Amino acid sequence: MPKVTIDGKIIDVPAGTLIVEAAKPVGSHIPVFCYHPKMAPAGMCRMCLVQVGMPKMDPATKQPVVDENGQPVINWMPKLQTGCTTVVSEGMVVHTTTPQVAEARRSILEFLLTSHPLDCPVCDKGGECPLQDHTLHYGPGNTRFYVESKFHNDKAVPLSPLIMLDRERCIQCGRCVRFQDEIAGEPSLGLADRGRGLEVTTFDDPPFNSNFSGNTIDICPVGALTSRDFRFTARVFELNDYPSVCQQCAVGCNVYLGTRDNLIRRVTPRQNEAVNEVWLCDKGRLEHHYAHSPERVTTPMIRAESDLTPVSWYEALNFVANRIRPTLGESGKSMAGLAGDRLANEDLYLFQKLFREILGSNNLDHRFGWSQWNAGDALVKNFGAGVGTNLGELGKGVTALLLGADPQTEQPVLRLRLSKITRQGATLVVANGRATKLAQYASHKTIYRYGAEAYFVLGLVRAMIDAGLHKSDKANGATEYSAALNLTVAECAAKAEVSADTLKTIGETFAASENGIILFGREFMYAMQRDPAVEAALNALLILSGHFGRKNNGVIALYPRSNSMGALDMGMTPTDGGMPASEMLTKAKLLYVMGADPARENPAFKNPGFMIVQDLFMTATAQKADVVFPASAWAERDGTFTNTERRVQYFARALEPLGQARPDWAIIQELAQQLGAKWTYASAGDVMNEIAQRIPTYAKMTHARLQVNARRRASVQTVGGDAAEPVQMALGELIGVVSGAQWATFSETNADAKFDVKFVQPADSAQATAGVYLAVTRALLDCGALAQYSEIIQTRVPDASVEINSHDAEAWEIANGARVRITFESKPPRALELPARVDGSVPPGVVAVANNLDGTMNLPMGAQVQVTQVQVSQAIAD
Amino acid sequence: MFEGLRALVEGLLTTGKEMVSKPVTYQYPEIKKPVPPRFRGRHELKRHANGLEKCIGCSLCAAACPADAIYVLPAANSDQERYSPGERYAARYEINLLRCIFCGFCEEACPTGAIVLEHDYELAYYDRRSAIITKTQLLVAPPQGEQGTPRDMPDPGNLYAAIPPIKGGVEPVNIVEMAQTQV
Amino acid sequence: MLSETAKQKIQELKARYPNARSAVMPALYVAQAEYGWLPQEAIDAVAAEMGMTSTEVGSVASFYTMYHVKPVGAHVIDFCTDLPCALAGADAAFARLRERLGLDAHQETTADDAITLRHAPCLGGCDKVPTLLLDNQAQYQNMTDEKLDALVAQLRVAHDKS
Repeated sequence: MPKVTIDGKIIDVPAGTLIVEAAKPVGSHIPVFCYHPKMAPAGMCRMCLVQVGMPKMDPATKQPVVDENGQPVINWMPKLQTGCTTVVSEGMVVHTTTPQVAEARRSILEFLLTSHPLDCPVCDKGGECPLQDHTLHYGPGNTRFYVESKFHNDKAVPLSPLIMLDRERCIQCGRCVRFQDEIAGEPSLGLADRGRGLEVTTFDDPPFNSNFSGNTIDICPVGALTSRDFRFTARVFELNDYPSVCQQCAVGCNVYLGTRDNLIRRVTPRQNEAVNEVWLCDKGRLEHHYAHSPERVTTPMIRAESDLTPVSWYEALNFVANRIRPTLGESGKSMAGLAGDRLANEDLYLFQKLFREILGSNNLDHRFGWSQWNAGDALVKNFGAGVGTNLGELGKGVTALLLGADPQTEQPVLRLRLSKITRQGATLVVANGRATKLAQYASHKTIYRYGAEAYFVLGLVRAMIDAGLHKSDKANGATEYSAALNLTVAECAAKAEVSADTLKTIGETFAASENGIILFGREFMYAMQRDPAVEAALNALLILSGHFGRKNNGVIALYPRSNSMGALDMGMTPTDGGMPASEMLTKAKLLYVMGADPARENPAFKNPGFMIVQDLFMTATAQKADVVFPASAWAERDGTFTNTERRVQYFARALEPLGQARPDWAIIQELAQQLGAKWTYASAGDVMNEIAQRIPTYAKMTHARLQVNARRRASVQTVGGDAAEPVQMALGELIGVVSGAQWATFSETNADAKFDVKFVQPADSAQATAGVYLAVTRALLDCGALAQYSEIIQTRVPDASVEINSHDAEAWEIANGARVRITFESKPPRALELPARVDGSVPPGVVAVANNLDGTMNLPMGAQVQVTQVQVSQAIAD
Repeated sequence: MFEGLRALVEGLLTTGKEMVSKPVTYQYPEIKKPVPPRFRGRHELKRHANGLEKCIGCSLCAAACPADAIYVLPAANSDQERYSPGERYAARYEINLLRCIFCGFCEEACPTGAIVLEHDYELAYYDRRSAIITKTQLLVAPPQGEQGTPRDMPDPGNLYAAIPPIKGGVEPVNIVEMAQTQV
Repeated sequence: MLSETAKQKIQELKARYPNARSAVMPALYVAQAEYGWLPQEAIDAVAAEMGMTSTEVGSVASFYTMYHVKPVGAHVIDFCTDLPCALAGADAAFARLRERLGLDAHQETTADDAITLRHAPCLGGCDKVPTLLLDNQAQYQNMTDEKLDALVAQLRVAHDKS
């Protein structure tokens, strides 16, 4: 480790550290504009100039020359060096405060300000702007630019529906361009022209079409890129920033909800190095609008005669209690509860407690529609990725195996984190039935045949055993297993339609790697649910490779929604013979639906007799209900979510509830009290305290503990004092903040436990027959239950289309863009008509349709028709 | 006794003198006493010579206000509906005069000289709500012969930026030196 | 739309470089030869052929002066007005030439789309000033007024013939 002297302080830093980074621990502040700790240095702005010297070496002895005082003689470099591109070396001496450095900073700032408009009072960045801050600290106190007006350029250029560009304010640091290139991997921003005419621009159509475009607003060190969503709604120092957790997907990105006048004005990422680092996808940034939609349900309603009429809470609760009370006891079994997995742990816990303890029913579920495809619960419980695993920091000695997932559209920020791990030395294997964005970053990528997932995984197991890399110290029946596994790698490869060499390499790399992580996504969960052999094979791969029970080892299930993991932990599953969702929708007599909308995906859904719906909106299900309880949005209450990596995270209350809306847990408590329960939870924190006592994995997970590092941001910043986080983000002064807590899996808490491995013969799937396989994908920006209330998201929702392989397209004589009719083998028969998109992302024999766009919203996801053969029967040219 | 008499005469003399001298009180509200030029009374929002509003909705007055008496809700100008120079104007501007302590910090903070504490001191209300004065009450009338706002104005001429450039440039002032000499 | 031959030429160019992206500049020349300049459509077409985003290709095209992201005349004169040329009276010659071509202020291309006249930074011919560059190909040196008039006349004739 090189020893360097910075401003007289000696510090050891790892080799390869840049001067700007080395200066942070010693408390020397080097101002930057173009440098950002998450990106490669560029050296574009020259703000970080420092004086650098190297010890004079004696050519004969190769030792530093010392002066009469025994101090090394320093050869100062003749000119100032950029701290953001200069790597430290042994004996280097750096001065960051000399008059020469101060003069350089002053000159750079003066230069930048010659063409920077005097917009600070009207600029949305004003108040959290590095150019403002640096000018105050290091800039010239006066101007020598005594002319009537400065250089002028275009203002308010809409770069995309989300982003407004002010060309005058741009200081040409290129952070936005580099972010899109390096981090997002969607090079949709470029620098056009040169010199004074240089401008950030996009030539794409639709312009600046990226799912991560909002991050460029945060990292822009001036007000050149601003949010059109936030534009002129508040000054940043007027916002109250409440720590929250994004509710849109299972990653659980940490965010701040910036509120003013009881409205969320903007959502910005909150640093959590273990979850989202400092990034946020555009969906998370824009979807908050539903919280104050005028269409929210604000009063309880009961069905009097034929219409739902607003009533008081007392009446509504009484109405329900009177209806339930006579049927309590045995007949309670006909009651069923369906809850959405976007709800907080506290809500889900009390919901199942209401059913199990008061109503005496185990008919509980949170899996329906497309989110029913989450399987592999036992795998996660036993072998979940070890506590302390940080996916963004995976490096040498780690192999990450991604199976049947498309994080680009389903867990976007996870995609950002995984796409950099190969650069850090990790091995990333991406295997799916179709090409995904992440595959371009993978060390090994392969496309298996849909339906042959079990063979693919068994091939890996076989390759591992053949190479003698398996470990059987924690396995029961390892020997029997390898005997029972009557398939060769070549046979598995043939079934899965991948090359045997690839399968062998992947299997051996994974097994030989010091650490191994398996991530499986929605498409793989579907396979697991269809064929138990898939889960058995994955189980064997994990146990025999020994990759579980410690940090950077184990399995991560990429669940569909923000609290799917929490719903499982809270017991929102039908146990002891309870009815699962598919049954309860038809068999239950009384249905309590909380934060879920089964009727949206299944229009045939009917009110089973008596139905209580607790939701934010008059959903399709609520319209059929007998009672509607208005629930408060996530921003209007506090609680916890458990993300897909089992990290329990606290979100604070940021808004006053709308109308008479109440938190879900409070509504459940009131109903329980009406039914005679002696519940006295005063807050969500009280419920969490009980969870911490009752659920062993959640022990000690109180709100107080989860709130560490998840603090509210002060609304008014003091100049020169602690910079608030968005300023730090733009300044590039990030410190590694981590918040939340992961629960330990069974294999971690029981180090001596042994696990059974059993071979299950894969079922020869229906997909083996000739035909076209329909892969159901997701689009990130959609017209979903909550996204439909955000206008900006709606402008960016893509049109539904069906992806077809170019070979198939040729064989079926379908041109790119032509309308295609897809018929399903379902009851009743269904057909879709969509434009075809001929590209290489699906293999021959597969077509892919996103099931959350206009026209494809109700793709038959229930039971038998989730993924079926389709016939591309008819092509009508446009 | 003599002493008492003297006191009586002196007293009557004082009374008599005051009877003929000019009274210090005056007949308010019929007569209004002029206030000093820098008197800080009720605020006004000023306009540029061509009638555009000087206020650009930057909220710096609200940030400077020690009594939290000012509320500004900004919005974006358009060429067809222009209120002020530049991109931004105050869609709502409210001052709670019961909270206001008339310190003049808002005036000090204003980058365009839009808000000025003027000479109106008749600030009594029948109810608290009417003590919150809105933009329509604060905004002065446009200069003689000029239109009010909003107006269709694609080219605001010299007023193209939120902070309009000063004719002939600005005088060189070294604020660092100024600050040092003050300390 | 790019012609099939142009597309094929681009594919051949790609094969010539170890990193196929390196062919973006010659590919832009191919497209420019087809369109006369580089409209958005040409940039999109090159991007599709190169497997890059339009933005990446557009950034390159707008950086270099030899690519025209605005329509230009049949012939482009880049007239140097940097210091050595200016000392030899290039500014006056440039102004005269503009007048001769009938160009208004901010106008670079003649009404008949024959000639585009632009200021250029140093062309590296400082010993034989003033200099100009014709169509990114040929440098003309020691440009006296007579030689300029002759050149313009010659270009006009060539343009009228075609």
